[in-house]
Amino acid sequence: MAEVELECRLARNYTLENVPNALAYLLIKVIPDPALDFGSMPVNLGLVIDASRSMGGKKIKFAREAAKLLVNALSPQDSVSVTIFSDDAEVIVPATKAGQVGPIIYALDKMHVISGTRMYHGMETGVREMQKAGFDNAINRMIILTDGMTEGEERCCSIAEQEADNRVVISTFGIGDKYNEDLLIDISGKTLGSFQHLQSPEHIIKQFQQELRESAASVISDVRLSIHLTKDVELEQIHRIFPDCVKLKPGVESEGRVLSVAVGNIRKDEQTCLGAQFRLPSRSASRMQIAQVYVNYSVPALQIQDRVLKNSVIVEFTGDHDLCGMVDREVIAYFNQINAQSLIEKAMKETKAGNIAAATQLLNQAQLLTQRIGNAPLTRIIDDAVQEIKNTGVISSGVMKTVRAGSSQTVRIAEADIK
Amino acid sequence: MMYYDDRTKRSNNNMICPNCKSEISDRDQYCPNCGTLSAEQWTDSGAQDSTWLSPGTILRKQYKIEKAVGGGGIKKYIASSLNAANKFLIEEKTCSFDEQFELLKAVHSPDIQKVYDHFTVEGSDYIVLELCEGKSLFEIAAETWPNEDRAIGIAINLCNCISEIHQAGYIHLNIEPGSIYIVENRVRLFNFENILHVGDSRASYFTLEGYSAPELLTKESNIDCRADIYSIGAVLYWMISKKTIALTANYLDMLEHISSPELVRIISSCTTSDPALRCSNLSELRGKLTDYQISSRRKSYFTSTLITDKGMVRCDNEDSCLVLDIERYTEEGLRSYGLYLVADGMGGQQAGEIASSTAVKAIQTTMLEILNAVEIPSYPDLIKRAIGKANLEIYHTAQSNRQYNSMGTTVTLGLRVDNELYIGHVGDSRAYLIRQGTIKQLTCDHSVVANLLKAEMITQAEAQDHPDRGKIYRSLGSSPDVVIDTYQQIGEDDKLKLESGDSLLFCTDGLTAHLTDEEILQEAEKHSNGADICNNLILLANRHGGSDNISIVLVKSRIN
Repeated sequence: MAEVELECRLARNYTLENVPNALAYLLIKVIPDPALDFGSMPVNLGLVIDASRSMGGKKIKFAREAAKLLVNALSPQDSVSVTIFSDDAEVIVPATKAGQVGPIIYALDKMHVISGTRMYHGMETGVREMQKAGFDNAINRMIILTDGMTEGEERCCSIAEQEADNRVVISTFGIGDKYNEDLLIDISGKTLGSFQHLQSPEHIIKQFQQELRESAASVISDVRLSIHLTKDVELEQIHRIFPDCVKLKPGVESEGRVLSVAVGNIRKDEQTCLGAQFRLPSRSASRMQIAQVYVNYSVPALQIQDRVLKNSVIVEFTGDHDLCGMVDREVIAYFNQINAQSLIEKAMKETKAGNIAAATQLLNQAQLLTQRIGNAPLTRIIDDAVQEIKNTGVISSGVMKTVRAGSSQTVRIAEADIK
Repeated sequence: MMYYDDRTKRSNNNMICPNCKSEISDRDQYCPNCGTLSAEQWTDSGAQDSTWLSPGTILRKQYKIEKAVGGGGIKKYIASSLNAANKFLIEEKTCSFDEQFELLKAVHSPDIQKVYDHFTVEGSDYIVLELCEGKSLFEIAAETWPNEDRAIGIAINLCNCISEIHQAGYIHLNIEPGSIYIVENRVRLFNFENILHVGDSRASYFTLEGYSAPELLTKESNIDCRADIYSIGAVLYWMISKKTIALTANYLDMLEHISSPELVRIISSCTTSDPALRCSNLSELRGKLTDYQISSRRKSYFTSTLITDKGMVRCDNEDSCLVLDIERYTEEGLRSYGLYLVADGMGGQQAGEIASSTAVKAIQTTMLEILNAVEIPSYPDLIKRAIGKANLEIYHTAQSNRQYNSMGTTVTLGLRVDNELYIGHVGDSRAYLIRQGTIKQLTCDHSVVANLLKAEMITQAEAQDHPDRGKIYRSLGSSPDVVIDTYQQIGEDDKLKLESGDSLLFCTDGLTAHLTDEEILQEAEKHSNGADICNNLILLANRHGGSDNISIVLVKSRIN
């Protein structure tokens, strides 16, 4: 097998003939060869930590400890910078090779709280430091930790948009219940990073370490998906479904027939699954290539640059209902993960609008799906939210943030797990 | 089924695409234009094998096979009777048709496929069924899609057919447009091969994309009649939106394709993924659909959205707005009223808020009082009376409280009576009509800048940055009398006749200070959902500075 394999599977290979606008669900799996040593890539880590007054006490203390543990866990080839922000930003650890741990740890001890929250200052300064370490041939990961509302939210989003082009993945961590999770979700979504809600300062250490582990494993870089659509076939939506669920916004070329989107860096130890939903034209009985799927990737550690995988997606139009009834349950289960996330997002909107009954109903639907899929952690999170509604009639800000962060966490589906 | 022959080949050995007639080079498997597999590669998966009965075969000395139809697990034939000229559909499979036969024998409904016979020959089970001579919904839609009223009628009739099956203790599990036939305007149900006795379960179920309930895709054992209810909702959605329902579709997605929120609610009550949240039985669904059909035949639809935002600069929101839909029985029959109102208060230190909210309350109260009365004055008089009363109330409050003595408010209201709109207006809030890609202001601003513009003393661009922008010379609360504009001020008539697809937009000057009429039109055309339009307009106004409070009431019409 090649170092990475591309697998494309339709939920149904047969569709009814002469029916306009039929749906087709395509699961695209990018599977790294488990037997291959992909090597490692230097991590260019930028920590951007909120140092506003509200971060005082335990929060800043745990952030400091988490940063120290991260620095100790880095390889000598990795780079790290630490920026704190309040009204202004201050670089407390300039971009430094992680081999020189002593001075970094000493510098981290200087982490202190000041007043104000202007996250964009921290992001801009953090990016500048990461740039000094060099974006090329590195896994560029910024980790933002904040506990409050920031000024200049739009500016933060435009920085994220800009840095997505520089292949910087920004993962956001919110702590407490005063920050704006919409903003953090937006920032991480734009750069294909993750958003995590930390219920208490004690969780900072664990989550930072988890983030570092995932970053270090993401050695298959610059992954790009292109879908060349056949005439009259429409792509309705595309998601990265696993390891986490993010809606992708593809760029469109060639009069809508070529759609292309960056998938980011992917892990060497886990498959990545994407889901594309198509609308098909009406056809009489025939076999049709509805799309060609291309995946480009690089593995810098193996000196592999811009390799291309290609797969054709074929559907057969038939009048045979029995053939149309054949379904790939694994594909459906992956798409149900998108469904669950969308139900949760809608439930949270209803909660914000004060429609608690509608929100509960949507959460129950989402829970039914997560149970069927076998996503136990998300099922528990939803259950907590439903219980809280039962007990108090509302969903607290903290639980809402936990649910929203949890909704993007998906599971790998195996045929045996499909209930 | 598509057949290929030598005519699909060109002299240069390149193929001609059987679908789009483009040339396919011999290197390509699929047509580069439309993706169809070239004829040389094509083998029909549904093609019949040698185990099928050949034409002329006589079964049970009674039925003569004429031809085979379809393919797959159940073999189907058109057969004729040896004794009479009748034609039948004969189905053949290796397992038993007992259940299907028993059900169809037990149900005596003219709308359900008739069954004539059931027998076994050489290990194969046969069932002799009525051959339908009408057209399936698929075939009908290929010619003309049913309109909404017709689609609902079909769904109601479908509920009647299927309830017979449910009462007999079975679930159909194959409700899709190919199983529904329209014969002489009657809905008839066919394709019973997947029926399930209530309480029984199978290792796996037949499912069809876009029509089958999601629980059939999982290994759940408690399949019940709600699986059929899902399919009725999915078929209804397909008939109206012309699209099969997506696995991930939710209420908001459906609103993109179906304009009536009430109808989307009914369809959602069938197609929600959780069976527990679906209509629990067919009579409940039939009731909802019938009520909807009666009400949609009776009146037009007006959906309204109200959104207000304090903007980017002001600490408080001094705007007030109102949307009120009511129905009243009058001598002329049932009448539908809509009251849409925006008011932009002024005066500082909460006085503006008090002025605008007083206007809203006073107008609402007066309107309701008069509309409930036996005799209703002319609608322009009613509007003038209501606004005049609000003016007096604000004026007296301002006079009796020193801290409020400079307060006032604009008011722009629309009173819709069925499909006709009456307008009342004081100040510089505005009403717009958006119709077929155009936007028209229905009110004249009572402002200094508007007068300068009217006199052509300044240009539109100069008006946008004029230092007196925002200064108005007419408002509620400044004197005991106020001159109120009605639609007569700009129209030939005293009312505007609304058309299907019209949008009415009422807004305070927080919106128009930052967006031109063309920009408002552009946003209104971009989205179909009222909330999306309003939210995006507010977002744009805030992006351009958000110097004042912004309030929008948007009304969209759909007239039968």
